[in-house]
Amino acid sequence: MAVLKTESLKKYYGKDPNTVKALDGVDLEIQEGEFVAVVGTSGSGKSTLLHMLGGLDTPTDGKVIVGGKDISGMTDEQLTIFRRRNVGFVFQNYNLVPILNVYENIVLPIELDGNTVDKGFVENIIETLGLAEKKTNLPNNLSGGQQQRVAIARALATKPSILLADEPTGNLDSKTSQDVLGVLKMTSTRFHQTMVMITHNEQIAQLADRVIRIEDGKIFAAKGR
Amino acid sequence: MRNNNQPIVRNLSKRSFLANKSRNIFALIAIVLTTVLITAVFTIGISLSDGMRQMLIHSYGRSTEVDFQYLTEDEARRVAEHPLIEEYGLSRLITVTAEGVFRQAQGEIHTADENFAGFTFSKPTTGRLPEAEKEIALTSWILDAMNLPKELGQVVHLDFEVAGTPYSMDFTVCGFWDSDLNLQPYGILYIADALADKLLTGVNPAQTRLGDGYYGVTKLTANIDGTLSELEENVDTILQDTGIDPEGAGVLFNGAYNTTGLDNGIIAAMALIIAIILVSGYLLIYNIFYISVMRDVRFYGLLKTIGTTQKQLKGVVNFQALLLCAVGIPVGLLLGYLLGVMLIPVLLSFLSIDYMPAPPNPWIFLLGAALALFTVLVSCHGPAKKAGQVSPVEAVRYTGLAAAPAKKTKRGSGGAKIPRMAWSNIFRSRKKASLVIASLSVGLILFNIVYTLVGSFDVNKYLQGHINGDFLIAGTDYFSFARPYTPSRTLSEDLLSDVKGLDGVQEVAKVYYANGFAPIEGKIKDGLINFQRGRILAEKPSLTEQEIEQIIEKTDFGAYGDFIDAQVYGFDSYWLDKLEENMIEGTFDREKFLSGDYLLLGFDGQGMVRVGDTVTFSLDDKDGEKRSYEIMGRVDYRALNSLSAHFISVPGFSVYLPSSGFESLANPDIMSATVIAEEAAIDRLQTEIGILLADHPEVDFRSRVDYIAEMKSDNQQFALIGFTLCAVILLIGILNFVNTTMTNIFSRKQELAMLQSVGMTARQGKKMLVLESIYYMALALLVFVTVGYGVSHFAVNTVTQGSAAYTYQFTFAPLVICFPVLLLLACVLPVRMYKSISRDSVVQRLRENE
Ligand SMILES: Nc1ncnc2c1ncn2[C@@H]1O[C@H](COP(=O)(O)OP(=O)(O)O)[C@@H](O)[C@H]1O
Ligand SMILES: [Mg+2]
Repeated sequence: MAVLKTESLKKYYGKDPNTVKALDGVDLEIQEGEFVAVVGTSGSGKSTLLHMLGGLDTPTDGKVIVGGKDISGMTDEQLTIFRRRNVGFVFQNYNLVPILNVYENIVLPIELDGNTVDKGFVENIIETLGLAEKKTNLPNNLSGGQQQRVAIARALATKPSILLADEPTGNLDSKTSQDVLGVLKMTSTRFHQTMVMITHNEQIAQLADRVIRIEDGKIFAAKGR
Repeated sequence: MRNNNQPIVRNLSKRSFLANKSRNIFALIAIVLTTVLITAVFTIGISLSDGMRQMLIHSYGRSTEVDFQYLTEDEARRVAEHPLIEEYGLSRLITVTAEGVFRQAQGEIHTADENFAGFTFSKPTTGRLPEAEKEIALTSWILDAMNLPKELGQVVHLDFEVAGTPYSMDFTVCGFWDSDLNLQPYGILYIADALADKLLTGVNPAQTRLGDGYYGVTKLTANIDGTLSELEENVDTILQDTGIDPEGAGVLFNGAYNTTGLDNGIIAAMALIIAIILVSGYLLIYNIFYISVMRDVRFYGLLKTIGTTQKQLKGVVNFQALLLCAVGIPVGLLLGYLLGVMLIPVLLSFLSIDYMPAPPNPWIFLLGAALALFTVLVSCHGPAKKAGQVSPVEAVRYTGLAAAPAKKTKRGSGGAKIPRMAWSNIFRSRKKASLVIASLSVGLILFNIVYTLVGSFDVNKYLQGHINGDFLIAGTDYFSFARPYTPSRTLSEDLLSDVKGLDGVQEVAKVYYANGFAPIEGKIKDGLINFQRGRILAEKPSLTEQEIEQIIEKTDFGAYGDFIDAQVYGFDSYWLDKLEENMIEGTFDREKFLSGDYLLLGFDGQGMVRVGDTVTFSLDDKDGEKRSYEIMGRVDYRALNSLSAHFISVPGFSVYLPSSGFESLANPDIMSATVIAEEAAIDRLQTEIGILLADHPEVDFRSRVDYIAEMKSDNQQFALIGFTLCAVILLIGILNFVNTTMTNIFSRKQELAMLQSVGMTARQGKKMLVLESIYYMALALLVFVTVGYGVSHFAVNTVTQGSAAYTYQFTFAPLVICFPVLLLLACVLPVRMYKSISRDSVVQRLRENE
């Protein structure tokens, strides 16, 4: 079953005559448990697509259907709540909260939802990501790779069915990139998640079940494996 | 090289300046406010000091530095020609009279030249100085006292004597001026030289100097070249050069020029207020620039990466500050000056100063501008340095104000509950938090001090110090406070029984007064010796017991005279309750007290007598009949101020007897009589007593209503000024808070977007920001409640010390007034800010990071 689905999805920025067609009619279906890599040149609309899929922004036209539900009509508040329950985000620049320690950052979305933390599960993620020693550290004392692992852990903590990653290794050296990618792949398999990852790196893309190429806001070619 | 950089720095500064609109508005308001306050305080302080000096000079009766009181005409000419004399005025004292209207304040008949009249504030304001033989110019109250209208051409009859020859003459008024009888308790009359020459024929002024009175002596009043500190020296030189005997010349320096205590008080108060203003201003301006630099840290980092030096970066910040000063300071000076000028009359009347001070000097503006500029530059110093020290790498990675916490780890896993996050957020930058909390709480504390001060004013206590019934009747002297009260016997039993006969009068309670003379012997002598011992010990603590004894043995107590003063009051029975109420030692036995063998002790500064001792004194006359009394107890004489003679005699003591002790005297002096009346009759009695007293110009009265009215207007004006000042300082605190909150939220735009991306709803985001504000407020309130109340208590007690009309009143009112305002601000501001930054979508905000 397609867990993520878009129907002639459009996102235009700005007003005529200066409209930027960041997405210009994208039809896409992603199956449950699939690992999809999105590639394309800079400014081609990759991030925009990811933001649409995760409900961070509302489309100009078309539909985004997540788990059978159309999210394009939701209010801001509904989207936020939908997001923290169903979607985990990993950004290029980690986006950790500087005043919270590693553990607190990881459980942040759970607590924002007012739920009690599934300690066993969170410990499991922390263990898996090799952060056990760093639980009380503040983000500014961690290396880039470590910070990105925290961000991944945070994305996983709510047990989302969908993991969206926007160039998660863009700020990391190649060794650390390998590391983080390995972790992402492992966890998504382990927790049976659907993962969409944007990357510039063809090598990384090779790891995916499927690679989607975007140019000028349109899906250029989709090649399976 | 250096010169080439200048335009670039300026250009960069201008760009940065234009990009920081809201910062500029805040900074401008801060600079204007600070300058306004400084200028207002300067204007007020300097004017007040000038007004007080003028009052002082008037109370000394002349503006000149020195008087040569008793010269011959020849001596006067020699002094006048001396090169050290800068300017002078001449007058001849013809005679002094105490006849007729001059019974209470003696009349002095002089001649005077224009200069002299000018220097002694006696230049006729209507008419002119006399020229013809029968003309006279005089102080206007003499006309009042003679029941003549204040008009030129009135005929004034005078009886006087010159060197033994009596004269009785009519004069035509050719000029008069007003003077304050309280400050100058005498009447000046100027006659023409022509008449003076006639009156003085056969009188040798030099001779009269040696006798009982002065006739025809010349007074020369002058300003001397050189500074005030050289004054005495210069006068000595003049006397030596002219060969005039200093004793005979009666040299009198103007006391108004050697009192510095008064100015020091004002200067200290001014310095304190200005210090508070400068600190508040500093906090605000510093905060504004600090936040602005932090916000622009990428900009400065970038400039540095491309080669801008530290010095140039500092310049960029300072240049912007100067640009703001160029606008803010002149505006502030103008507004501050206007505020000061508006407040001066209010303050003058509050302090009972009748003299309009000279308009403030232009240098007030220079000083105000300099201080404001100084504050701004000092405030900018830190931020400018920060801008200069920005490391380019750091700057590019810098994520807004989310300054890395100093800590490496954070214990516990309390999680990310919203209140906890808000709490942690405040302490991201301890410095910023302390600044905001400090400036908020300083405002609150000051507000509380003024409020408590106004609230602590105790109407009953105030009134008790002035009046203890509905009307107070006494001789005019008694109300003038111009000099210590001396028995004048102006108030007669007859008059008082007339008053008592008025409809609605319940009671007329008298206080008798007499100067008592207590021989220095027995307990009194022991007491004096003890007092002396204490004084020696205080001065030279190292002396042994024996050495002190030796000094005391040598002390001649004759220096005090054979008697010391006893101020003896006789209280009507009506006052007995009041005496009993105010007992501080011993027990009050009404019957024993009324028997006449006992008395109550009031003031006894030297600790000469104790409860249980017997004291002996005669009344009114040193050689009168002496009587002995046993001291039954001691009362708090300060609580009986409204029934006292308004002064204490040192060394001496004061005692209270029942009035029966006075009634047996031949001619007892009734000092005052208090009328207690029926509530409904008070208005009518005000008029009726007035009518009764119209025939007795030497008797006057005050009503309780008079004192209440006086007190109300004083207190209101004080409150007005105090609250204006507080409002401004509180405003500074609030502005500071608003500024920090706004910039804080702006700079955390991305972070908030990120929180939203991981699932923080708008409601939760607002809640967090509101909580942060509330925590700030709560901390300021905590500081206020702990430190603030202590400080207020101390400040209020210090200020009201010595004023009998205050009782410290703890009050929650300022808290209750401020709290809702602050709470509202803490709730509304962050929500509005959050809405304004949420206009951009999450994605847009996150993109700003890329
Ligand atoms: N908030 C926005 N406002 C205006 N233009 C935008 C906005 N977001 C994206 N764009 C534009 O849309 C296009 C696609 O951007 P993006 O999805 O970020 O590309 P990618 O992630 O592939 O580099 C770009 O031309 C970008 O400038
Ligand atoms: Mg992108």
